[in-house]
Amino acid sequence: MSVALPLGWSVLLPVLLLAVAWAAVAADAVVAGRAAGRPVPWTVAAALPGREALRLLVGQRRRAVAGDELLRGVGGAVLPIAALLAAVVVPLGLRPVADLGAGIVWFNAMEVFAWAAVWLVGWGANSTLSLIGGYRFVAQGLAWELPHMFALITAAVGAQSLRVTDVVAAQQDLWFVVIMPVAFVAFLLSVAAMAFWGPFGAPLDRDIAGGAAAELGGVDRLVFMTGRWLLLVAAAAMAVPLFLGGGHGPWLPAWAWVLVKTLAVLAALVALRHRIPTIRMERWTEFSLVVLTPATIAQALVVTLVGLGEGGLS
Amino acid sequence: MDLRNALLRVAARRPHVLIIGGIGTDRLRARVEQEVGRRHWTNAMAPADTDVLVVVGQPGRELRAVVDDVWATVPAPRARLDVRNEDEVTTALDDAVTVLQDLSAQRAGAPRDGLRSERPSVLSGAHDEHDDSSHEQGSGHEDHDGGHHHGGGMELPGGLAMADLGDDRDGLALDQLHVPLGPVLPEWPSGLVVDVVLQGDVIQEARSRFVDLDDLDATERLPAAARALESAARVLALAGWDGPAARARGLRDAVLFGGGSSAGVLEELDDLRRRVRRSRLLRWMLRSAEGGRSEVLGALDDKLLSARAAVAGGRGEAPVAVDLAALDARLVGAEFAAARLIVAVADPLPQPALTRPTDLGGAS
Repeated sequence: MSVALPLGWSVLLPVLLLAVAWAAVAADAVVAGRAAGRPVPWTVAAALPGREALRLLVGQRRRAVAGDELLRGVGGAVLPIAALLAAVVVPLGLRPVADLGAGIVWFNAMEVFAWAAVWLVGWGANSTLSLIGGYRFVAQGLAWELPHMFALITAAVGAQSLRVTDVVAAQQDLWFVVIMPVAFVAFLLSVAAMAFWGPFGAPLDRDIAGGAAAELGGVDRLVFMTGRWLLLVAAAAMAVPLFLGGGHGPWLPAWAWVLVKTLAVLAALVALRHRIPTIRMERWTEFSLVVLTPATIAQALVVTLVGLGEGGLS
Repeated sequence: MDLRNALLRVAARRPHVLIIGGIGTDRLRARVEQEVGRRHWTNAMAPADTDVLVVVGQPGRELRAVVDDVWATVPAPRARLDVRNEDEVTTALDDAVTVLQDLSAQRAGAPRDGLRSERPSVLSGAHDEHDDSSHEQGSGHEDHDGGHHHGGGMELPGGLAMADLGDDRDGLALDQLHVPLGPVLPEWPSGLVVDVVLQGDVIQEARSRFVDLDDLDATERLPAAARALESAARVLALAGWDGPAARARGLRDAVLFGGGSSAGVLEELDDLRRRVRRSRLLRWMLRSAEGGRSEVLGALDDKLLSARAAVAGGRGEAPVAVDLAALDARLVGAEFAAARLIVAVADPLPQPALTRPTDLGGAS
């Protein structure tokens, strides 16, 4: 069974992702202003993503001394491409752009490209602080990948399929978040970590002057930062078919439910971000391996046993 | 041409600002930061992300060389301002927007794009050894090199030296990088430079000093409350907690420039302190056996407490002077993030570096 959308949607997908990312950046500015006690008016925040993009577009590009321009360029370009490719398996409504048989594996594989991307950008700049940023992300990636994988697998086990549309179909009556809450929380946390965003932004943090992105100027910076937001949006959108029932819901059409749920996930992430400090990866590694990984394994086990009890895994 | 002008005009409306100042410029810097925040502009993290470079006070010889280095790596459109006193701040920032919007001026002043001889920014911690003929004031770097010699005498294109090899804490031979931290780094004490030897992101040797100490006696210092709040804000910002950091800065501004009753300031200070104490995540992040982080949280609370005492009218106790040798000792063995917190907490007062044997730890 293949229920992919017509090919034209592959052109529309980047536009949709960018639109949602725009909204997320604007909301982030508003929440940041409130947290800082210096409220940013809605009008300013709504224009902010466009203005920042324009600022970088007219800005000059920049090269580092003896930097590896090729690797840096490749790394920067990979990020938004990986985000787009990850998003092709997310059903926009009930049908995705590409209905892959192993959609969940594909999604995770695309995410992992971000490791290479950030590392290459950090390395290519030939600057110590950028390199530290790159290292931090590799360590962070290793720490979150295990719980992230188990969270993805739990949803797949629940639906007994790696195809994302099957996962959505299996949630017609009951959202997976109800029967696998631990996997959902682990997924949300690792989503932010994957996009090296918010509390997991250590690879780009202030203490290393912007880290992996410290030497990026002009359009290079625009592509990198946009890629990061797209990655966050794509992953937040993926939480909807995996745990929140996809396009299922009363009254509204399926696509509207996907949009509303995606925005809700992003809103939760943005709200959380400004309440907590950066999570240092050396602490996170400990938590991830000692608490989160066993918890997600136990979650997968419970879901498997329930599946077996209900008539066996086919 | 009209389109370009229009684009420049829109792009220049919310510039990112990098502020550089030497010792004794903290008050002026605070005033600029306050104005930048009021306009909803952004503080830049690195020269690559900078539109407006604000030089506060009158930088000495060494800092001027650093500023020129940084300026050379700021991409166009860009504007550079000197702010000498507090009355100039508003007009100077207004002028910056005008400069950013001026297409012909930007064309004329743009740095050459992507050239080999371009110096890496000081801020980005790129290696400090250059034989760059285009840079006459380079003595600022070589003067205090402390006798490090880089391995093998091999030079990479671009004038960068190779890294040394040395044993790391596990006894493995790893690359050593000689990197100056500061004086241009976010959340960093004005005028401080720490020359470190890095392996990975672990600091092996550290030697801190202040640049341009000539007129140390005339150096203006912040009142105790503002100083404590500034230091607390740095710690919070380095911990990645931007909201409370901005609030601490807001309180600093209220203490320095008025604008808020003393009772209001006290109330907000108590509120901030409560939030910091209650955050279990912050405690978890700052408490660590390594790198002296367990002390960071205590010091943060002390700073907020002493600021409160000073605002409440008590004679704020003078900050405990941290001497640079003690700071160096604490930095050795810390990883980078911890080291940044240690410096932010120590917040050393400008003081001459002690004369010490140059072979501290035998790097070369």
